Amino acid sequence: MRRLAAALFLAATAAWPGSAPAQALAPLKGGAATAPASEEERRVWAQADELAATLAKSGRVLDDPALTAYVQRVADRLFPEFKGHIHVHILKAQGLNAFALPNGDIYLNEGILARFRNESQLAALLGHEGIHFVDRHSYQSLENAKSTAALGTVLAVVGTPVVGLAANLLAMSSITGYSRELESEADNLGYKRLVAAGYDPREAPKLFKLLMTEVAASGEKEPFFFATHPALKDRYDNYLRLSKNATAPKDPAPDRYLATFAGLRLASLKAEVSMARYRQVIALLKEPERHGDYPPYVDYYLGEAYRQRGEKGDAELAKAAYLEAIAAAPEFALAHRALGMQLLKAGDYGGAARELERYLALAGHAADHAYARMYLEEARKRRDERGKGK
Amino acid sequence: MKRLLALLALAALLGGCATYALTGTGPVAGPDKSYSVALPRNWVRLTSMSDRVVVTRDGFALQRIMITRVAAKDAFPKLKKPADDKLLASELAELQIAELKAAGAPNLTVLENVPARIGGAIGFRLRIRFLNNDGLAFEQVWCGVLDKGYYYLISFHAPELYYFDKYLPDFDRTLASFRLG
Amino acid sequence: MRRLALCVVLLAPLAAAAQTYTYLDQSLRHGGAVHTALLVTPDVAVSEISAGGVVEKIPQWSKRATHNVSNALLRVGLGPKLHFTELPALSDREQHALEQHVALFSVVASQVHSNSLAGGELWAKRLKSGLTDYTVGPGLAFLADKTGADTALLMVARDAESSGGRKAVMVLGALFGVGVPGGNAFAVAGLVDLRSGRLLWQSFDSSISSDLREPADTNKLVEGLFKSYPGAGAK
Repeated sequence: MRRLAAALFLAATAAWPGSAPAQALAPLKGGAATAPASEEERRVWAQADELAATLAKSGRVLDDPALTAYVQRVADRLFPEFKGHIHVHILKAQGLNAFALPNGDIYLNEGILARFRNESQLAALLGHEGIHFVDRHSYQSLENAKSTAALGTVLAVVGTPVVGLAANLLAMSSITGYSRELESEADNLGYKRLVAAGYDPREAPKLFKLLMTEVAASGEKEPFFFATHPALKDRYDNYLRLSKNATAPKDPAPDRYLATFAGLRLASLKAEVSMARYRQVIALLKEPERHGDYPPYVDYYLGEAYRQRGEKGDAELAKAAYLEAIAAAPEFALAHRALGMQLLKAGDYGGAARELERYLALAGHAADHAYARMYLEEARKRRDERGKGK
Repeated sequence: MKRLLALLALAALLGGCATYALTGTGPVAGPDKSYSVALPRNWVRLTSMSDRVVVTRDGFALQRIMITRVAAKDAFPKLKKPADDKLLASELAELQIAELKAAGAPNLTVLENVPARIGGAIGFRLRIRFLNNDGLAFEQVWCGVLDKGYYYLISFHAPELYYFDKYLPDFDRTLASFRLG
Repeated sequence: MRRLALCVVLLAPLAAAAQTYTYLDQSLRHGGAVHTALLVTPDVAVSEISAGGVVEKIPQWSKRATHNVSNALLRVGLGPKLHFTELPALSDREQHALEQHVALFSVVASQVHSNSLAGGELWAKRLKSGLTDYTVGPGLAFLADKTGADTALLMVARDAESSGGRKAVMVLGALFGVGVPGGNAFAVAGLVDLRSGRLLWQSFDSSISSDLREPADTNKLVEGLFKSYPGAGAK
């Protein structure tokens, strides 16, 4: 149903990018004047409020006050006159996505936050999304949103069907993007905000370069922040052009982004493995710069991605990755467990028993000891049988 | 209330094509006599789905026991992956979790994941939790096992509030009665 | 997907007429005691369906309709059989507990609904048998302690007004979030025992031509709902 709905929605909206320019509407003014200008716009904001409430109620929004405050602070620095009107939330969703609702709620996927390497890159994205709100881009595209949702169901990026006008606008912004004119406007004005707030504008094209690389490497086909390759390349070229003569900001504050989001980065990686996003994990960890952003045992997750992908040669790649993880972090229990199970499947029962014993010794009260004990028993039994020449 | 509304209409839409029967006392056989299982007495079975056993006491959204059997090559349609008989039970469980996430519950929490003897063979037992759009929690138990080229799943679904704990014993008895071949 | 399509075709002609049903717990079947019901704020929404088929909830219309439904409830002549009382102020924790149980009521009510409308003979018999377990559980007992009420009345009403001449009938609920089998407006009401959580009564009515923005239409729909309440009409 999801694929069908998304495909139909995309088919219906295929004419949009680059189609007739939207009517120009005055941007929101900020402060107390930040309000819908018409009854119709009021309805759209009300729908967006309901969608935001559903996202929160259904457990899709990350409940981490420290991280949420961090991203909120960046948004407030970019859009000081809209403080209290722009609310940034972190969505418990993987994938490279972010979207702004017409009412000022902005959502960033864990997946995309895990990709940023510094606060300026986050600011580049928030600057862009914030302009979609301030310049009322989704409301400007309203007529399109109303008339093209023939079936109405939009699965978009939040994981389950959410219906109604606000959901259509959400899908529009996150699946196909707005018209070329509006996207350029968001880039250009967002860039100005980035500079005015004292961020390093040279990071903006770097972010898009990283996204392009990862998308190409992982063959990502699902809807995401910028739906098509050319659009992503457009963003990169545009920011490159804008930042051509940019210089580093004077007296930049120490950047705490990588340290602050270390936990989220790891959680996102674990989630991606558990959701069978193997290509994405492999593409991410094969980049030396990215690999270094994770704890020393991160090759365990690379091993897991290879193992679960299970293509020709992957078993060997997985085993090599587990060994790397153990070399870098000998006390990391899970790598021993994973290696033990690989060895068991490969018929190295002595090796399997050794690794599983090591795992149980290190993991102590690990919740998954039931499997480990079962496999250890099997490994020992087969090792002993082999030893007796059976 | 959104779930009520969606279910109201779906029910009206689909209900006219569904047929039901009360469960009796004897064990029920799966397709090709591949398994037998004793269902809770005086529950309602959805008989219009011949490829699976689905029963409830008060309505499928309140408590649902389901038994399915698919060819191993078709075990994980969302992932487009087969269930390989070289897979360890823990690996089968991993794939089932990924399949459930891909099927519409990406934020599910795994409460339990342990090996289990299902119908005499080693499989897995998962217990998961997720919220609907109204923020109501549901729990599910999924027990899976591979046997002779087929993937068997025995599952239980109920709202966490009141229904899950009350009717879990019925599921556990059903599971205990499940026999392969 | 094909199976679904076939069922739609078969059901479409049946969907034109207004539909009703009532579920009654054993305890209410034979007279039953007088009940004081806490009126949980009715969940009412009036939406407009655009030419493109997008359903847009209109806040002002919904507010007016909620007001009409609340007034209609107060008008319903249930006399000695059922008194309504207002929900008191609740703490955050109590509000959350109420919302959780209302969310469970949605699911319970949807099962009663589907089994009543489309469950055939087997379910019709089962629903009258007293063997069913429709409940929200005992978690709302604190409201009985707090207010002296013994039951809670929960209500949902929806109205889909079409613009540009588009028919609102059979707007597929699963896709648009508006469940309207048979008409453009419907209401469902349920009475639950606050201590046990047991569903005591549930009534559903749909109408092809109600406009919940109009008090007269709303009164008619709500009165229709409560016709089946035991002792209704007795003064």
